[in-house]
Amino acid sequence: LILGPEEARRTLDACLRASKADAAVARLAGGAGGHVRFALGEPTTAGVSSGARLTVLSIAGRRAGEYTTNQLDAASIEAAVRSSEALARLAPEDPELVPPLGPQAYLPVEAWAEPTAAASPSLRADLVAAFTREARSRRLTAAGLCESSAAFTALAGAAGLWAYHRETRAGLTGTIRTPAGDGSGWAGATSVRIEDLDAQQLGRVAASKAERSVGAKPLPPGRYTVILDPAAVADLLAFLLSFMDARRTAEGRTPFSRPGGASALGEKIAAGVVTLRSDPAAAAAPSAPFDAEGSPVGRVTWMEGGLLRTLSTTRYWAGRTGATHVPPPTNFLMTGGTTATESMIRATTRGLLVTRFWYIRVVDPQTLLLTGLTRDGLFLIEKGEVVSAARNLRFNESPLQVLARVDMLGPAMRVRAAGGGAVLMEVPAVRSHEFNFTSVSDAI
Amino acid sequence: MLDLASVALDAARARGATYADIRINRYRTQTLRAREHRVMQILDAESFGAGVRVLVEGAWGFAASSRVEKEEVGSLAERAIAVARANRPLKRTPVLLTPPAPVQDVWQTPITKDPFRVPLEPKLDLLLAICREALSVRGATFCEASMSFVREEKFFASTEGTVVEQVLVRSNPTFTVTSVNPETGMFQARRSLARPAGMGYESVEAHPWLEEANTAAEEAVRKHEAVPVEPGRRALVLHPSHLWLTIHESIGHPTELDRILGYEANFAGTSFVKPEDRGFLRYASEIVSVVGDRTQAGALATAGYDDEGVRCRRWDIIRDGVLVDFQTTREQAAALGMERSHGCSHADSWESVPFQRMPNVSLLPGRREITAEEVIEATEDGIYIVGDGSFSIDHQRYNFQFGGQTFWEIRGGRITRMLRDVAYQSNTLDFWRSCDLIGGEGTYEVGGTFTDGKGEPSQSNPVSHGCPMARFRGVNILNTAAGRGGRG
Repeated sequence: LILGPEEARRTLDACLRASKADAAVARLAGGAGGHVRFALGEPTTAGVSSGARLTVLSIAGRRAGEYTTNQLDAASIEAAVRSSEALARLAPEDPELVPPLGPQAYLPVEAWAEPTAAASPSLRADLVAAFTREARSRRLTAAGLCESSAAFTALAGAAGLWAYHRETRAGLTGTIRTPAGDGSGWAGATSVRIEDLDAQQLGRVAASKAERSVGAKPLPPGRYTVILDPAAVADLLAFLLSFMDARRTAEGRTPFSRPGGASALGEKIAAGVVTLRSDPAAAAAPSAPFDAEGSPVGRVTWMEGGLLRTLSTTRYWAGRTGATHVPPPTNFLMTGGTTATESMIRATTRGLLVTRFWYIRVVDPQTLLLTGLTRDGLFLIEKGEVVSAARNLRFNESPLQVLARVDMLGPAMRVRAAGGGAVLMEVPAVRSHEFNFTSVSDAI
Repeated sequence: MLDLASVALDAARARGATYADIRINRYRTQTLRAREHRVMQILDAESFGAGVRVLVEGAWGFAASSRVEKEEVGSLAERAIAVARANRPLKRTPVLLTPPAPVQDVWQTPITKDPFRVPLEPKLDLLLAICREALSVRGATFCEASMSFVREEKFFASTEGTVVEQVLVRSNPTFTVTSVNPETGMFQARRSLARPAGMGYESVEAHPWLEEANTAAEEAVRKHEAVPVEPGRRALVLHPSHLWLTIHESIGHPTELDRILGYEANFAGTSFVKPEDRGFLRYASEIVSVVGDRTQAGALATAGYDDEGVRCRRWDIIRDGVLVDFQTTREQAAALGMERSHGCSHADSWESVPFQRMPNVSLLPGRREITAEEVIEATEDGIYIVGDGSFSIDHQRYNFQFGGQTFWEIRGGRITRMLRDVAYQSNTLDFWRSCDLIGGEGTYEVGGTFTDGKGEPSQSNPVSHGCPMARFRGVNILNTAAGRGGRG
């Protein structure tokens, strides 16, 4: 369900009018979209759906309660308001409650493309056809997902808060495998504009990786120079986001904590070439300019020239510590360089080229040690050339160590991390060193 | 409800669907979160909607909406048919289903205390009491406690004449204690060993929360002084609070037929298991038998019927170490020429497409009544792991690595000291074939998760795994801190 600003405002105002609480904030988020999932070279499931969620936050003194409904008729809205008020009355006083926001100013963001919002089941099927044709023409098997969606979020508060954002998203990812199961390659793209998805080209990349990954050699575990494709970089960076929090850092429980409640802010924790930013208005990866409570999400430099510059800070924590309130980013941008992947390969005596990672989990939050595996295209580089495919490897490594050892950057590209939820990123391919692989996997 | 269903199913049939079903579901959830002395969140939510699935000339189509009205559900059938027709030209192998077995029935999770009828106050009091108790232990710095509840009212009807109404209830209480050493700057955490259940509030009341909060806090503090593990091959004794997750990843997922057939190749991955392995593959040692069971009392994937109206059941997956069957839906069972599905179709919402999800997959206890103490006593040199921790497995389910909550050294049949920085890596078949001791019924416990992820667009599935204590020979132990660089 997509509502424009006026319609959304009407629904939210109805909520606020119904409210008898000391303060109230209402949030309405809706969407409509469709997908085609495919495997063994043909569609397996496909669908369209549409819906919305209305969340009412009611505040009574220092007590708060929330109620969410997906029914937007007058009676359901009234019931949601009453339910949230009832929960608030029953809640204990919250010493950390901050008052709802008044009017705010947001960055202008253009994240909507009408052709994506209007994409039909046939258009998605056509994209899948183009991708799978590339596989079939080479006697390979394709699996993947093509999806497109439109969504909006609106917030209104009794204290004057009003926020509205809408965005479209289209994505195509695919894995192409050899019929014997001895080769596998992946490619994917995501964009605001469905016409940006070059299904045939993605099919070519995945098919080529699948063919080149046949006959993979087992390599001994150990430390390797790695060239990480942007998708692999995004997979690792996604884990930084959840730890870049000022309060948890001050409490001594993030990798950025220092003894005595101090933090690594201002410390050089990555190589000088590493700069991480977020900017909701970034043309390549536009995102919401406000967070769930309606706080403006601005342009933030998180890491600059390897120095840790910013940690996200809630309104409560900012008030308590005198720091600036910084919501978590809604996108993530790593500044790229000019070195093409081919040039990184030529400059590498021995190393591994990584397409993407899989099943990454935190092993030790103290150092942000992660474990996970390579997947769908791992290649051995010797004397400046890709000489063969390599069997997949498990790693035990921290993205902080990876960033500390980066020495080459490619141009930044738009990607969405496999484990990063909806956060769009724009990140480059990178070369790093001493990447710690701990065992060989038989998976292809 | 039946009237609405008829509108959708008639519209689907009239427009050429050879099969159609409709699910009209209402999901009610409650989430309560506290930390230290403060309640952080009180959120109740409700979601209601309908999803229509159609089969047109062998191609699936699906459409869903939160507007559950006659006109809208009729339109859903049309939209689902449009989706199916758009994809029909790409379909080379028409979808076939196992023979229909129409049923009309109602089913409800047997509960004694509806969590949505329990007032907020005792729930919030309990969360704050857990935090208070944990923080009363010297050295415990932070405690976060939460509980969430789900009530699903599910209506299913198909063109084959099946009509099923169900009410499913689940409860998920937990907490984590963290200890920060201000001098060293190191922090350690211990999560509750309590597991979510397909039960009502009685499952919350049955757990000794305050006792565990105290123990957990003491163990979190004690971890600072624990001895770094010596890497190498050792016997592993795994408590059920840990082993459920290893079963989930290394037996549950590899025996899902959709993965085996390649449907999940782009996301969750395929499987090292092949269709022809059924009845032949020596998966584990002879003492290992594993069942798929959506009828297991108190378990999270337990229901009367799955999301295509197939009656839930129990069946063997591994019998005496040999792989004998898979997890199936009607489409997959038909693809392998099976007569019936094992009832593993599930969608996490009215707006999600049902597909094959994991039933409760449980390791049977040993035939002899071996106690937990006897398993320890029978172990000369090993490591005992309690609670689940970090977990990762490759996309064909060969190579895995698991951590835990607490690690204990076993020497000469006794637990001697606490260890830290422990993880084990192994290969699924090597690991399960090395299982040489299984505890009896008295050691059996049920673990599980509210949110097992799979599929694209990604869906979440609740699932339990029962298991006894078990021992595995010569497993590769890592010290995860070895070679650790400087901090952050």
